[in-house]
Amino acid sequence: MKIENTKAQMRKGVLEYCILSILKSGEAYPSEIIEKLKAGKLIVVEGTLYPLLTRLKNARLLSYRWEESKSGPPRKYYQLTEIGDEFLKELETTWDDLVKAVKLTRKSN
Amino acid sequence: MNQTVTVNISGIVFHIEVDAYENLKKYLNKIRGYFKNAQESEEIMTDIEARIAELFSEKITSDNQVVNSKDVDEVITVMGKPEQYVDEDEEPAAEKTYTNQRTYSSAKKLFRDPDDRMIGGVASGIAAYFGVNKIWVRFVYLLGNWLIIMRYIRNKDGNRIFSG
Repeated sequence: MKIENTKAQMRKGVLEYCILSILKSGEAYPSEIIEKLKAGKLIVVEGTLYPLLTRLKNARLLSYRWEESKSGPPRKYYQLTEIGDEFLKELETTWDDLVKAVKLTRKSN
Repeated sequence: MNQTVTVNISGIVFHIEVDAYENLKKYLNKIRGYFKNAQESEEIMTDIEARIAELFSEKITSDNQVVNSKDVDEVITVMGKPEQYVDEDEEPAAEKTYTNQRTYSSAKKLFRDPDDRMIGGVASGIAAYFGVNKIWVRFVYLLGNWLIIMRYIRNKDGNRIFSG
Protein backbone atom coordinates (compact mmCIF):
# COMPACT_ATOMS: atom_id res chain seq x y z
CA MET A 1 0.00 0.00 0.00
CA LYS A 2 1.50 3.27 -1.10
CA ILE A 3 0.93 6.38 0.96
CA GLU A 4 0.98 8.44 -2.25
CA ASN A 5 -2.05 6.61 -3.65
CA THR A 6 -4.05 7.06 -0.49
CA LYS A 7 -3.19 10.74 -0.36
CA ALA A 8 -4.08 11.18 -4.03
CA GLN A 9 -7.47 9.58 -3.53
CA MET A 10 -8.26 11.70 -0.52
CA ARG A 11 -7.25 14.81 -2.43
CA LYS A 12 -9.24 13.88 -5.49
CA GLY A 13 -12.60 13.76 -3.72
CA VAL A 14 -11.87 16.93 -1.81
CA LEU A 15 -10.70 18.66 -4.99
CA GLU A 16 -14.03 18.14 -6.75
CA TYR A 17 -15.85 19.36 -3.68
CA CYS A 18 -13.64 22.46 -3.51
CA ILE A 19 -14.08 23.33 -7.18
CA LEU A 20 -17.84 23.21 -6.76
CA SER A 21 -17.59 25.27 -3.57
CA ILE A 22 -15.54 27.95 -5.32
CA LEU A 23 -18.20 28.20 -8.02
CA LYS A 24 -20.99 28.42 -5.45
CA SER A 25 -20.31 32.11 -4.93
CA GLY A 26 -20.46 32.84 -8.66
CA GLU A 27 -18.88 32.01 -11.98
CA ALA A 28 -15.13 31.86 -12.47
CA TYR A 29 -12.62 31.05 -15.20
CA PRO A 30 -10.00 28.34 -14.74
CA SER A 31 -7.13 30.66 -13.74
CA GLU A 32 -9.20 32.10 -10.89
CA ILE A 33 -10.11 28.61 -9.69
CA ILE A 34 -6.44 27.63 -9.91
CA GLU A 35 -5.38 30.62 -7.78
CA LYS A 36 -7.72 29.58 -4.98
CA LEU A 37 -6.78 25.91 -5.15
CA LYS A 38 -3.08 26.78 -5.16
CA ALA A 39 -3.52 29.05 -2.17
CA GLY A 40 -4.94 26.05 -0.31
CA LYS A 41 -2.15 23.81 -1.63
CA LEU A 42 -4.76 21.50 -3.13
CA ILE A 43 -3.09 21.42 -6.51
CA VAL A 44 0.53 21.79 -7.44
CA VAL A 45 0.31 22.10 -11.22
CA GLU A 46 -2.34 23.86 -13.27
CA GLY A 47 -2.80 21.03 -15.74
CA THR A 48 -4.63 18.99 -13.11
CA LEU A 49 -7.65 21.25 -13.22
CA TYR A 50 -8.55 21.04 -16.91
CA PRO A 51 -9.45 17.33 -17.10
CA LEU A 52 -11.46 17.72 -13.89
CA LEU A 53 -13.45 20.68 -15.20
CA THR A 54 -14.20 18.82 -18.42
CA ARG A 55 -15.45 15.81 -16.49
CA LEU A 56 -17.60 17.86 -14.14
CA LYS A 57 -19.02 19.65 -17.17
CA ASN A 58 -19.72 16.36 -18.99
CA ALA A 59 -21.45 15.11 -15.84
CA ARG A 60 -23.65 18.24 -16.21
CA LEU A 61 -22.61 19.62 -12.83
CA LEU A 62 -21.07 22.66 -14.51
CA SER A 63 -21.82 24.76 -17.55
CA TYR A 64 -19.77 27.51 -19.16
CA ARG A 65 -19.99 30.55 -21.38
CA TRP A 66 -17.27 32.19 -23.45
CA GLU A 67 -15.96 35.63 -22.74
CA GLU A 68 -13.39 37.67 -24.64
CA SER A 69 -10.19 38.44 -22.76
CA LYS A 70 -7.83 41.37 -23.19
CA SER A 71 -4.74 39.35 -22.40
CA GLY A 72 -5.20 36.22 -24.49
CA PRO A 73 -7.69 33.84 -26.05
CA PRO A 74 -11.37 33.87 -25.00
CA ARG A 75 -12.00 32.40 -21.56
CA LYS A 76 -14.46 29.81 -20.42
CA TYR A 77 -16.42 31.07 -17.45
CA TYR A 78 -17.74 28.13 -15.49
CA GLN A 79 -20.81 28.09 -13.27
CA LEU A 80 -22.80 25.54 -11.28
CA THR A 81 -25.84 24.02 -12.92
CA GLU A 82 -28.92 23.08 -10.90
CA ILE A 83 -27.66 19.51 -10.76
CA GLY A 84 -24.28 20.81 -9.62
CA ASP A 85 -25.95 22.82 -6.89
CA GLU A 86 -27.77 19.74 -5.57
CA PHE A 87 -24.57 17.73 -5.84
CA LEU A 88 -22.67 20.33 -3.85
CA LYS A 89 -25.30 20.38 -1.11
CA GLU A 90 -24.95 16.64 -0.68
CA LEU A 91 -21.19 16.89 -0.63
CA GLU A 92 -21.39 19.56 2.06
CA THR A 93 -23.40 17.22 4.28
CA THR A 94 -21.03 14.37 3.56
CA TRP A 95 -18.05 16.55 4.33
CA ASP A 96 -19.51 17.63 7.68
CA ASP A 97 -20.23 14.01 8.55
CA LEU A 98 -16.70 13.02 7.62
CA VAL A 99 -15.16 15.77 9.70
CA LYS A 100 -17.25 14.70 12.69
CA ALA A 101 -16.33 11.06 12.14
CA VAL A 102 -12.63 11.83 11.89
CA LYS A 103 -12.71 14.02 15.00
CA LEU A 104 -14.52 11.32 16.91
CA THR A 105 -12.13 8.56 15.94
CA ARG A 106 -9.09 10.70 16.60
CA LYS A 107 -10.34 11.59 20.09
CA SER A 108 -11.01 7.98 21.04
CA ASN A 109 -7.36 7.08 20.44
CA MET B 1 20.77 34.98 -34.33
CA ASN B 2 18.02 32.44 -33.77
CA GLN B 3 15.58 31.00 -36.22
CA THR B 4 11.93 31.21 -35.22
CA VAL B 5 8.71 29.60 -36.37
CA THR B 6 5.23 31.07 -36.32
CA VAL B 7 2.57 29.11 -34.47
CA ASN B 8 -1.10 29.62 -33.86
CA ILE B 9 -2.13 28.64 -30.35
CA SER B 10 -5.83 29.10 -29.62
CA GLY B 11 -6.13 31.64 -32.41
CA ILE B 12 -3.20 33.77 -31.26
CA VAL B 13 -0.05 33.99 -33.35
CA PHE B 14 3.30 33.59 -31.62
CA HIS B 15 6.86 33.71 -32.87
CA ILE B 16 8.68 30.93 -31.16
CA GLU B 17 12.30 29.76 -31.36
CA VAL B 18 12.79 26.46 -33.15
CA ASP B 19 14.14 24.56 -30.11
CA ALA B 20 11.39 25.92 -27.90
CA TYR B 21 8.80 24.94 -30.50
CA GLU B 22 10.05 21.35 -30.64
CA ASN B 23 9.99 21.16 -26.87
CA LEU B 24 6.45 22.53 -26.68
CA LYS B 25 5.22 20.17 -29.38
CA LYS B 26 6.70 17.19 -27.54
CA TYR B 27 5.08 18.33 -24.30
CA LEU B 28 1.62 18.72 -25.86
CA ASN B 29 1.82 15.33 -27.55
CA LYS B 30 2.79 13.74 -24.28
CA ILE B 31 -0.24 15.19 -22.52
CA ARG B 32 -2.49 14.08 -25.37
CA GLY B 33 -1.19 10.53 -24.96
CA TYR B 34 -2.37 10.43 -21.36
CA PHE B 35 -6.05 10.90 -22.07
CA LYS B 36 -7.73 7.77 -23.35
CA ASN B 37 -11.18 9.12 -24.16
CA ALA B 38 -10.82 10.85 -27.55
CA GLN B 39 -13.65 13.32 -27.22
CA GLU B 40 -12.63 14.43 -23.74
CA SER B 41 -9.01 14.58 -24.82
CA GLU B 42 -9.82 17.03 -27.64
CA GLU B 43 -11.61 19.36 -25.27
CA ILE B 44 -8.99 19.17 -22.53
CA MET B 45 -6.23 19.87 -25.04
CA THR B 46 -8.09 22.93 -26.33
CA ASP B 47 -8.40 24.25 -22.77
CA ILE B 48 -4.77 23.55 -21.98
CA GLU B 49 -3.61 25.23 -25.19
CA ALA B 50 -5.77 28.25 -24.39
CA ARG B 51 -4.11 28.53 -21.00
CA ILE B 52 -0.66 28.19 -22.56
CA ALA B 53 -1.51 30.94 -25.04
CA GLU B 54 -2.59 33.12 -22.13
CA LEU B 55 0.67 32.48 -20.27
CA PHE B 56 2.73 33.25 -23.40
CA SER B 57 0.80 36.46 -23.98
CA GLU B 58 1.80 37.60 -20.50
CA LYS B 59 5.46 37.03 -21.38
CA ILE B 60 5.39 38.93 -24.65
CA THR B 61 6.38 42.58 -24.33
CA SER B 62 7.28 45.18 -26.89
CA ASP B 63 10.98 44.49 -26.15
CA ASN B 64 10.64 40.73 -26.25
CA GLN B 65 8.36 39.47 -28.96
CA VAL B 66 9.69 35.96 -29.28
CA VAL B 67 8.85 32.95 -27.14
CA ASN B 68 12.10 31.22 -26.21
CA SER B 69 13.09 27.97 -24.50
CA LYS B 70 13.06 29.58 -21.07
CA ASP B 71 9.45 30.72 -21.54
CA VAL B 72 8.42 27.25 -22.66
CA ASP B 73 10.18 25.63 -19.69
CA GLU B 74 8.47 28.02 -17.32
CA VAL B 75 5.07 27.31 -18.82
CA ILE B 76 5.68 23.57 -18.59
CA THR B 77 6.59 23.98 -14.90
CA VAL B 78 3.38 25.89 -14.23
CA MET B 79 1.16 23.49 -16.17
CA GLY B 80 2.95 20.43 -14.87
CA LYS B 81 3.99 17.19 -16.49
CA PRO B 82 1.15 14.79 -17.30
CA GLU B 83 2.62 12.24 -14.83
CA GLN B 84 1.82 14.77 -12.14
CA TYR B 85 -1.83 14.87 -13.03
CA VAL B 86 -1.83 11.12 -13.31
CA ASP B 87 -1.16 10.92 -9.57
CA GLU B 88 -3.92 13.33 -8.87
CA ASP B 89 -6.42 12.22 -11.41
CA GLU B 90 -5.96 9.87 -14.29
CA GLU B 91 -4.84 6.68 -12.57
CA PRO B 92 -8.25 5.41 -11.37
CA ALA B 93 -9.68 6.09 -14.83
CA ALA B 94 -6.94 4.03 -16.45
CA GLU B 95 -7.69 1.12 -14.13
CA LYS B 96 -11.35 1.31 -14.98
CA THR B 97 -10.68 1.05 -18.71
CA TYR B 98 -8.68 -2.05 -18.02
CA THR B 99 -11.50 -3.77 -16.11
CA ASN B 100 -13.98 -2.79 -18.77
CA GLN B 101 -11.88 -4.46 -21.41
CA ARG B 102 -11.62 -7.58 -19.31
CA THR B 103 -15.35 -7.83 -18.82
CA TYR B 104 -15.86 -7.28 -22.49
CA SER B 105 -13.63 -10.15 -23.55
CA SER B 106 -14.76 -12.61 -20.87
CA ALA B 107 -18.52 -12.05 -21.23
CA LYS B 108 -19.02 -14.15 -24.35
CA LYS B 109 -22.23 -13.57 -26.21
CA LEU B 110 -23.88 -15.64 -28.87
CA PHE B 111 -24.90 -13.65 -31.93
CA ARG B 112 -25.94 -14.45 -35.42
CA ASP B 113 -23.39 -13.13 -37.86
CA PRO B 114 -25.24 -11.10 -40.49
CA ASP B 115 -22.06 -10.49 -42.48
CA ASP B 116 -21.29 -14.17 -42.98
CA ARG B 117 -24.48 -16.02 -43.69
CA MET B 118 -25.74 -18.78 -45.89
CA ILE B 119 -29.28 -18.65 -44.54
CA GLY B 120 -29.56 -16.86 -41.25
CA GLY B 121 -25.93 -16.51 -40.17
CA VAL B 122 -26.66 -18.91 -37.32
CA ALA B 123 -23.85 -21.34 -38.12
CA SER B 124 -21.20 -18.68 -38.38
CA GLY B 125 -22.45 -17.16 -35.13
CA ILE B 126 -22.18 -20.46 -33.31
CA ALA B 127 -18.81 -21.12 -34.92
CA ALA B 128 -17.50 -17.76 -33.73
CA TYR B 129 -18.81 -18.47 -30.23
CA PHE B 130 -17.07 -21.81 -29.87
CA GLY B 131 -14.09 -20.71 -31.89
CA VAL B 132 -14.36 -23.47 -34.51
CA ASN B 133 -14.60 -23.42 -38.29
CA LYS B 134 -18.14 -22.74 -39.48
CA ILE B 135 -17.94 -25.65 -41.96
CA TRP B 136 -18.08 -28.03 -38.98
CA VAL B 137 -21.07 -26.30 -37.49
CA ARG B 138 -22.92 -26.56 -40.77
CA PHE B 139 -21.87 -30.18 -41.20
CA VAL B 140 -23.08 -31.16 -37.72
CA TYR B 141 -26.33 -29.34 -38.35
CA LEU B 142 -26.96 -31.14 -41.65
CA LEU B 143 -26.02 -34.49 -40.12
CA GLY B 144 -28.53 -33.88 -37.35
CA ASN B 145 -31.26 -33.07 -39.86
CA TRP B 146 -30.46 -36.16 -41.86
CA LEU B 147 -30.72 -38.38 -38.77
CA ILE B 148 -34.06 -36.89 -37.80
CA ILE B 149 -35.46 -37.37 -41.31
CA MET B 150 -34.17 -40.96 -41.41
CA ARG B 151 -36.03 -41.77 -38.21
CA TYR B 152 -39.33 -41.03 -39.85
CA ILE B 153 -38.76 -42.77 -43.18
CA ARG B 154 -39.67 -46.45 -43.12
CA ASN B 155 -38.54 -49.06 -45.62
CA LYS B 156 -40.97 -51.24 -47.57
CA ASP B 157 -41.33 -53.75 -44.69
CA GLY B 158 -42.66 -50.99 -42.48
CA ASN B 159 -39.57 -51.00 -40.28
CA ARG B 160 -37.64 -47.92 -39.57
CA ILE B 161 -34.33 -47.82 -41.40
CA PHE B 162 -32.77 -46.21 -38.49
CA SER B 163 -33.96 -46.92 -35.02
CA GLY B 164 -31.60 -44.74 -32.99
